Order: sequence, then structure tokens, then C-alpha cells
Amino acid sequence: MPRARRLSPQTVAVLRALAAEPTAWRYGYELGQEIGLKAGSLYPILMRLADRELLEAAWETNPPAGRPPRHLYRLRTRGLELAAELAPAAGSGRPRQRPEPRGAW
Amino acid sequence: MSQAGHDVARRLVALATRLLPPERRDWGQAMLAELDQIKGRAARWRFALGCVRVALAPPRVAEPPGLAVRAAVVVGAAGVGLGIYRVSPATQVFAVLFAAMLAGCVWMALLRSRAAAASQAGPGGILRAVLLLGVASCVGVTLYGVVHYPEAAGGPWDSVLVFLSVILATMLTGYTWMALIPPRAATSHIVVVRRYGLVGGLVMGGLPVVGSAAATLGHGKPLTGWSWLAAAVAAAVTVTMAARSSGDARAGIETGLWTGLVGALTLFVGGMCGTYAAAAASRLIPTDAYTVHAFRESGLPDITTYVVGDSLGGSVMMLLWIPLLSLAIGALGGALGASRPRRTPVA
Repeated sequence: MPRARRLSPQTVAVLRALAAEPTAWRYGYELGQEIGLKAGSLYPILMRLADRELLEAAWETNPPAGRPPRHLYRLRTRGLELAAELAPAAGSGRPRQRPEPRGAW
Repeated sequence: MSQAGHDVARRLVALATRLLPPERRDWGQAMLAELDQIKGRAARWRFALGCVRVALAPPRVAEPPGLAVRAAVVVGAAGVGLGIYRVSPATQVFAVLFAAMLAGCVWMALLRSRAAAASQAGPGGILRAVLLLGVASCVGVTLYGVVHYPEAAGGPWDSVLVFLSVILATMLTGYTWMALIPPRAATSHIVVVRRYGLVGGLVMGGLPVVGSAAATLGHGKPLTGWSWLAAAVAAAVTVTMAARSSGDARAGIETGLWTGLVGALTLFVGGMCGTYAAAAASRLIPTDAYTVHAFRESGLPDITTYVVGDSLGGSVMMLLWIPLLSLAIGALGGALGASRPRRTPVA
């Protein structure tokens, strides 16, 4: 299990955002919008989380007609456990922004 | 996507994607797919520049396995090979080939790194465990047959034995490969595959075993034929349901493949255990003219040994053709199921 103290604030923000809806698959751009991270910061974080088997990534299986499938993300059990470990420190970190409605952009 | 697919920002991201190392290419495609959904020129450019930044300096993949791990792979594979050989020297061709290919398979799995494995969903813990357990069980029941019916195997350089050894080692390594590092083409609908492939495979492989057992116990040979038909129907229903649930024919094809893998292993292990049990109970006495004639031609000492050897050879070949057959069923069932989607997307 990766140690929480080695995680950057941005990574913690990603973990918390994903843990807020543990079973939901999330889009990358929407996630970045929600926590205020640009693609150049978000995707390396997602890659590292996937490398450490904290994040599950999959392609959309049934996209709406007329658009190609998108990559989806959600935390694995280990990721959820890590996010839960981080939960007590939630008040001391960066305040979590309110999620925008899915597909608002 | 409309005209967005042809703008400069998209071309930039597409170009940047090519800079990514192979194990990160999937992420490049993911960023490209996201860009296609972004409205507004400024937002698209911001996202595209971020993607370029990622492409120029992607996170390093996990470190390659250390010396200790590499040594463990070699020693472990050699141990497997030696273990098989010690149980039955007649299996030396299989032992050497399987150990070498297994080492190569595990080695490749390690070299491909956890990054590559994690960026695409694997078959999942249960399905993976079933496949690996099935492979180990196949080795076990094969050794049992070779040890208890040595005449059935012939000498270590018997041409049929060498041929079957090559097929068995290759197929079992292939199954191991699918369990550890399946190709992306076989896992693009892995959530659906996990749901349907395992159950479908167990039913598909189990039905002929039950039918064969019933026939052996004297409940009529016709049951064997019907059980094979039922197995094919079970596979067809499984892949159709998989394709219907996702609305994509490809899900049916992938489910067909995984159903075939699980089904073939189930049939191999279950069928051979049934054959051994029937042989031990002296119930393995075929009366059909073809089998009796083939037995007389074989020169084997008794018909039980002949039937065991014949079953073993047939089971080895089933590891090859059942997934192919199931794949074909998957293509047909997938097309049928996808033409009538049941519900809206997962996400």
C-alpha cells in the first residue's frame, strides 16, 4: 500500500474526488474541471495511480451515438482504502470544490 | 465530434500521442478522446497543450523487475519443468517446452510492467484465478494419465506424444498469457466479459462433462451428443446476452473468447477426471465398432489404456479448437445481441 505522506496535494484531490462517488466511472476532463487541474497535471497523476493499481481505467463500452468512446476512471479497492485513510486530514487540505453536474460541458 | 477532429489542436495531440512510449499509448488515445468532447477553441488549446506536456514528459513506468525477481522466474520455471519431468520422464518434451515458455510468459508480463497492465483492465481476480487454476489442473490430470497409463503415452520421442506435447505446452502457455497479460483487443469490454465469460465458460465446459458422465453410468449415449449441443447453445446465449447488455457486437466476440478459454479448461479437467474415474471403476468399456477397431489397430494392451490415451489427446486438441469455436459463436451471437440493445451505457 503506498504511503499517504508521499502523495502530492493534487493527487490527494484526485483521490478524494474519485472517492466521493466510489462506484461511478468518471471522465478525465470532467474530473480535471471539478478539482481545477489541467490536463498536463491530471493525466500524469491518473497514470501513476493506475501504475500503483489504485485506479481502474477502462474504455466506455457504449458511448452515445455519434461520438467515440472515452476513457473512464474509478478507484480500485486499494485506492478507496487510501482515500479513506486520507479522509481525517480532509479539513487541513485544500477545500474540495463542489462537483459539477456530469456532462455539463 | 463534427469538425473538431480536423482542427490543429487535435492534430497536435495526435502527434504528441505518437511520442508516448508504447505502454503509455493508451493514455494518449484517452486524451485524444477527451479533446473531442471539449467545446470552445481556447479550452481545446489549453487541453491540447497539457497533453503535449504529458507526451513530452510522461511519468516513468514502474522499474523493471530486479535481479532477485528475474532469478525467481527462472528458478521457478525450471522447478516446474523439473517437477514435471520427475513425475514422468516420458513428458520430457512437454516439461522443457512448458517451463521455457512459461518463463518467457512471466518474464514478458514483468517487463510489460504494472503500468501497462494497469492502464488496461485485466480479466479480474476471479477469472484470472480460474484460468491459472485450470492450467495447473490440466498439467496435473495430464501427468496422472501419463503415470497411470504409461502405455497410452508411448515413449518420450513417440511422434504423437511429441506433437501433443508441443500443442499442450503452447496452449497452456497461451492460456497463462491470457490470464496475466491479455491483449487489449480481448479486454475492451472486460466488465461485460467478467460478468458473462466465467459463468458461460463453466456451463459450456460442464455440460459435456455431465453428459459424458451420465452416458458412462449407463443413462444412454445419446445424452453425450445432446450435452454438446446444449454447451453450444449455452455459449450462444451467453455471448448474445453480453452483446445485448453492452449494445456492442465486440463484447459478444470477447465474451465468446473468454467463455471458450474457461470452457476448454473445464472440459479438459472435468472430462479427464471423469475418464479416470470411469476407468478405475472398470466402466470405461466402449462398444462402438470404430473405437474397438481403432484399439485393435493401436497395439495397446487393453482398451481402457487406449480410451484414456485417446481422451487425453482429444482433450489437448480441445484446448485449441473450443476457444476458436466459441469465438465464432461469439461473432454470431454478438451480432445478434448488438442488433437489439437492452439498455443504455455503463457510464
